[in-house]
Amino acid sequence: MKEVRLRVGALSAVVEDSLQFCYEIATEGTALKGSVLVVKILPVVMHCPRCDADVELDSLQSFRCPRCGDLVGDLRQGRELEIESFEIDGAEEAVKQ
Amino acid sequence: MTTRIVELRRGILKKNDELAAGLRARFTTAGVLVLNMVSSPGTGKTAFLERTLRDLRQSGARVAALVGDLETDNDARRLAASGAPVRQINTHGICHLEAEMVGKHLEGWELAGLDYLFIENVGNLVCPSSYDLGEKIRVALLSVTEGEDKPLKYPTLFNSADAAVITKMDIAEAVGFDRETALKNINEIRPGIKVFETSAKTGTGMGEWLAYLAEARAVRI
Repeated sequence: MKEVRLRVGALSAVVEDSLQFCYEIATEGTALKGSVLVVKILPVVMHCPRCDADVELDSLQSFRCPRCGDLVGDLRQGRELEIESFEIDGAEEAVKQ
Repeated sequence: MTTRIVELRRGILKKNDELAAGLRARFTTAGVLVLNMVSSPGTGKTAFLERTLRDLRQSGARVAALVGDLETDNDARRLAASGAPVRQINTHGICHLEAEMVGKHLEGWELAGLDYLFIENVGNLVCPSSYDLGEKIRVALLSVTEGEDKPLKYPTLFNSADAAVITKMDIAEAVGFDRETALKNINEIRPGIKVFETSAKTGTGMGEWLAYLAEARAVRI
């Protein structure tokens, strides 16, 4: 296993540094040992009814549309916590998996 | 050496989400309104629930509670004094409840014989936000002693809540609680959320809270 890619929403309560720190320890002695963990942080995206658009928040301190300043409650992205893909060395091994 | 990329797109908490969806379906079929109560340690979740269970039972409602803690069954014993069926979930070090623990502790309970089921989560404002327990309503609680900026410090939890409860309103003045700021901060993180200002000790705000529960039960089931 060469690489594991995660998609992590900014509202998923995951701290990338902690995840990276644990990953090395948790993968010791497993098929994942030595693989790289790539964490893609997804920003919070809310739907703004006034602007009729999906807008990205730049901070979690205020759920307001960055365009019009309205408070927004309709979350469209930000709670993801998923394995997007992984990369394996050697095609033959991959088939066996 | 060739390499191969395998697309997975699999939720890491998929198993919990599936179990929670199963629980939610069971709760809906049984007609029981389930609430997941989340706060820091010391907010007064147990005192607030003691009062809620007692008041609901007095009004003739059929209520039960599951209560999560790392260790001890102290909270279950406190809540059971209301006369309601209560079970303790000891997580032994885990900082949140998971759907599997809830499912396991429901065994033998006739859910159709209940109007309300309260799940008191482990005192923690971080991890419980990621674990769906199959509840209809997630309630975030904060006390007047905790600081008005709590919602700003824990946006992941407050943003996932369906209702907020402020506890210990009876000592608000003594601790210099800034009500306006607290309400503003809750609204900045979870716009439009219903907020209840309560005291389990004096009963302040309980009427409004109980009316909300009754309405939520009627509407959502």
